[in-house]
Amino acid sequence: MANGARAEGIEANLFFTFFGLDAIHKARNEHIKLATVGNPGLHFATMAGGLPGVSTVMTHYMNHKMEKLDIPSIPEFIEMIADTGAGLYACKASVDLFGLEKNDFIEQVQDIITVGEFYEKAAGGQIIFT
Amino acid sequence: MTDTVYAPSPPTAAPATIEKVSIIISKGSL
Repeated sequence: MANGARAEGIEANLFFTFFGLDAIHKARNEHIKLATVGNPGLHFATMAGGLPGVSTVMTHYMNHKMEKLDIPSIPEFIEMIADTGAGLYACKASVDLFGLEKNDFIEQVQDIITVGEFYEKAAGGQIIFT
Repeated sequence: MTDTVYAPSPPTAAPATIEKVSIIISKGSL
């Protein structure tokens, strides 16, 4: 959505909070998995989604499909979005909660800011929660 | 007593152009 916004000339700021921080975490953003438990979009039993290895297999399958369609991986996509001029910010409360620091994140992250500071940046625009 | 109308109301104004979006990402999975 951020990439699409930038393509349309719309200013975009991204705020990564709680587990969303994994997408901008240096060591974790190449290992984002597909959630197979409690994911009704997969159309199979919740119990099946919890079996060992199912998430790994489904993640490989999804990555393979993305590669075939020339969809960039998450780290590449984040880099592309940052290159378009979108602002990337980490949530201070979540960073503190997980005991992280600025060095744990990819260089494209501009700052670690509070929710209040993010709302100041968001003023006058639309807010999308994903 | 008036009947309930479920049809959507017509727009009262032209949609505004979006100039800025702020996206909150809270999940760490695909």
